[in-house]
Amino acid sequence: MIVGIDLGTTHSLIGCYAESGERLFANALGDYLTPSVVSIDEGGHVIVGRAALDRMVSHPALSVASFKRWMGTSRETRLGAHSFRPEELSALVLRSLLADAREALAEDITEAVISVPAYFSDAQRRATRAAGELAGIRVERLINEPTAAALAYGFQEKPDGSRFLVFDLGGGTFDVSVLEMFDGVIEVHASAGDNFLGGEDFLDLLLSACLGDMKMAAHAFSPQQLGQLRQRMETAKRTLSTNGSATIDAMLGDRHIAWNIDQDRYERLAEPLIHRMRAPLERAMRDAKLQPDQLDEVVMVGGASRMSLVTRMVSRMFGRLPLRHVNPDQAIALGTCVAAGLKARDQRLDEIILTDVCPYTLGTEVARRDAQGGLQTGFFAPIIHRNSTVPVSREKTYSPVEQGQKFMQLEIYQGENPMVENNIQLGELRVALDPSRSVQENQVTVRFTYDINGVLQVEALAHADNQRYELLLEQNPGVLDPQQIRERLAALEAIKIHPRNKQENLALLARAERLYEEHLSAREQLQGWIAQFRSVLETQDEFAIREHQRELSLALNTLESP
Amino acid sequence: MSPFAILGLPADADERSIKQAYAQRLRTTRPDDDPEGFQHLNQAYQAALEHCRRRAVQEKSPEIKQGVVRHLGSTEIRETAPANLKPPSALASTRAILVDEFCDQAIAVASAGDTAAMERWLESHPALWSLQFKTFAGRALMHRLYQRQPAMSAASLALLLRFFDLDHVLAGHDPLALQQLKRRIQLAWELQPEHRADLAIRFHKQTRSAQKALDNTLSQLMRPFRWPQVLLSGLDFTKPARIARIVRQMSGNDLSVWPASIRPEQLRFWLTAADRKRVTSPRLALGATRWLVSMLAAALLGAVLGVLLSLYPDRFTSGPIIFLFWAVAVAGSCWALVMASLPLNDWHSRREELPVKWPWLCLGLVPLLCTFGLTLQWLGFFAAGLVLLVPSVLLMFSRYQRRNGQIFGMNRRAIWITAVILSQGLHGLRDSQFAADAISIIPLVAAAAAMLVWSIDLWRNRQRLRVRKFRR
Repeated sequence: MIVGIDLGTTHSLIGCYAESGERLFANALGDYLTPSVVSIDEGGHVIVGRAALDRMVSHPALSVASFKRWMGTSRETRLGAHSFRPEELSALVLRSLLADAREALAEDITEAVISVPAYFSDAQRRATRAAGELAGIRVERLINEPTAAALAYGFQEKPDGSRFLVFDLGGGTFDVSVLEMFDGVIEVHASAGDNFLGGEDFLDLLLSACLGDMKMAAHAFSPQQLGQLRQRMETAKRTLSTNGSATIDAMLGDRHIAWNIDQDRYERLAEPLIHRMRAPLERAMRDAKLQPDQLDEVVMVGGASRMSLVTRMVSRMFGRLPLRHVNPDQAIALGTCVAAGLKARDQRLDEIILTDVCPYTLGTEVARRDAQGGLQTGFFAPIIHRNSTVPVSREKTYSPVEQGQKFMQLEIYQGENPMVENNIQLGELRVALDPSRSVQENQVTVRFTYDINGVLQVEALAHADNQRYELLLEQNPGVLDPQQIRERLAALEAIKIHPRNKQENLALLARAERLYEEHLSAREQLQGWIAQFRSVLETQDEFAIREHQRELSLALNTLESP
Repeated sequence: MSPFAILGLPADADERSIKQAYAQRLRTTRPDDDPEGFQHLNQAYQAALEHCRRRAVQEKSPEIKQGVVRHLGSTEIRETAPANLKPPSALASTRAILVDEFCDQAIAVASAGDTAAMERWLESHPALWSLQFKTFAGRALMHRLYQRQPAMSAASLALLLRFFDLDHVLAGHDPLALQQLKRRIQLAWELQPEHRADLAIRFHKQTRSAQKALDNTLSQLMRPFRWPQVLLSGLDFTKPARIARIVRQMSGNDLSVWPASIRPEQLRFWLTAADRKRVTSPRLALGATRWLVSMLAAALLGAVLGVLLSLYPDRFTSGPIIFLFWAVAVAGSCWALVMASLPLNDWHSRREELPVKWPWLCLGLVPLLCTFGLTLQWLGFFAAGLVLLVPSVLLMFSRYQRRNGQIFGMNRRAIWITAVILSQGLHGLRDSQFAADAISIIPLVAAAAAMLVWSIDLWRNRQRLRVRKFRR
């Protein structure tokens, strides 16, 4: 069985393509959405999900979230005695998801399809694959998130012969794809996006506005208090879209925070973010060579697309009301399940064929001669244009700059800027030339091959001696090589993870601890409850634990509801 | 094979049947099973669709066949026809006027220099929410920028290009031309007196002396070109080199980046004057002026000294006056000699690969000079022989150095030091018998040295001798 996984910035989901169609698996707490948060408890055990999210408030130094934004970098996060790369943190989330799937399917899982933002770079895609390997599964396919959402939408609605745009605003990334569906073919025309724009940015905006109004600096608060304030902002953001205004009334340490914001002000604050969304939308439309009136539908997915100001911007731009998918949080996961079914060649999906595009331009650095004959360097020469249908393979031939050159240094870049200094360098390849030959005889043909999983292969052929060269992109510092993956896998195996059946108790404890931080008035009471629950847990008496669990959760509910 | 044939369709198939055929063939050529076959099929599909759309446009309005030409004031924009092009109509012409107005406004706002205000203006402009208008306006704006090259700060220009998505590699502009445009616009902005500080920061000229040099250079370059002023300010020996250094630093070799406020005649004059390799009219003019002025100064000083001499004949002698005139005259004639020999040396020491006038003479000049010089010696004209032999040695060494990189592994300074030591040694021995002998064999030694170097040079260049080509 191949599972489909949506590894999101804030939440992750897992599912598969079962007899009844797409099916999502619930975690130990009964939710489909598992927060992508990792925490380490005092005993060195790893906690993932809801409990870890609560521990962001009570133990911020031992918890980490939003690590998807660091994928493809070598940034290490220190949690207690361990230090983790973003791949490893993602692997921990994946392990927790896989445990849920194993529980539901009662079989071992070895293969998965994982969704990634369409605008993820080569290094970020490799990091996601490495995360899968570190979680002990083979990643059969990486699917672009908006394409997955389109699969889910297209599979439900079957809008044959129509063109539509998928607008995917998640917790940390923003993606746009323009697609067309005809005769069972789902064809992606163009993708564009912003890897650093999502719901979290709107949250940051609210947080800084609040602190600015209260004339407080962020560093005046402890991490616990900031985490607490952030969580309250999240609630405020949700109520803003439904009620038109939101109020925050809380005690942070010895400071009282009473703050109110209405929709108008929020919109003014969020204007720069809203305008940042225009550029990818416009580029996707332009690359697809379509006008807004040629689109049949605009589909909005991703949790942050619920915000009314986002909807308003989209309607203004396309002159129509966008279609909101039934559940924007699950659309990508459902589509990934369909993709897993496609990969497994499920009989019922046989009539659907998906073609995707490469979302960015790939090319090499070249030098040019200006009108005066001077050499100008640093230009980006595209080889694979963005939004080419994948798999794609293209070649170009380059000549050395000067007679008698001993080698040609090919610098491989990804990006859209005409100057390479503003693009991302993927790697370099040195091709030996024969200095005694002329410039024409010393040409080099460079071939770029971009496969269906978004992995780039670069080959060069020197005409002088017919020597072939191949570029290994694993040498990127942000990417682990196979040897490192094996080492890290062994290290990860050694870290203890709480068994799945303990998750419920853990989540309850973490929630009580969070409330302890938030409610100054009920601290003593909470402390008593926590101590009591811990002692009951130590007795390992299943019945007593169950009983206590119910009581505590009822008590916490009454404490939390105003 | 035509794309239609690959899809198994007649050449007049419509979009719908192309898609149907593609979908059908995809079932046997899946992208994950057969990447190469799929690529082939997809290319055919894209080409067929493109062909089909172009045909649809042509059928709709035959006059668009050559592409649409719209007149926007003085601007002429050639637009490649999109699939849904509406025929040129009243609507199009009002849009053209709108775009015209918009471009003027946008450039005015950008030239004001306040990027935050500019961003607000662009984002709140209602017409720019229309994708069609924005694309059209962006294209027109780009054209306008190339045409007028208005002064703008780098940040404003970057914002403008980013907003209209013009600064990406597939936007269809030549990156080199765009880079030059950016440089030009930024330089024009920074040359405005109120933004000089930005220029100083960009080129690290923040110390007071560097800033002064920069200001002097720019004010000189902005003056209208008049010979008297230029020659007068060129009396400062360091000035051409200084101006050239600053100009090269700011614009590299590309002089077209300088805005209209900088006089091209001034630029050309100072850059040519700083070029020490060639004899040019600016160099001659500057040198002659400097020499004339020194003569004048010497004459003035001489007049003063003459007066002093007549007043106090016992304290002053006429020695200094004569020396002064001699010094100026010698310096002037040395300079004139160098100027005269430069073209000769340049012609003579041209690399073998480059074409040259009278290649036979170029090759045989040194042997010729040596033969004549020695013949004159033999006939008894000692001085005349030396006049031919010494320059031939100098010419040959220069030729060897320029054509082969170095003289026997020594650099220029080492040669000078050796020459000075040798001449001093000869000078010390001038009264001895040995010196008299040495002086008498100097012509022979010189001729031998010149011929030796000449043969080594010939041997090293034997593969590429240009005279060989002439024979073929």
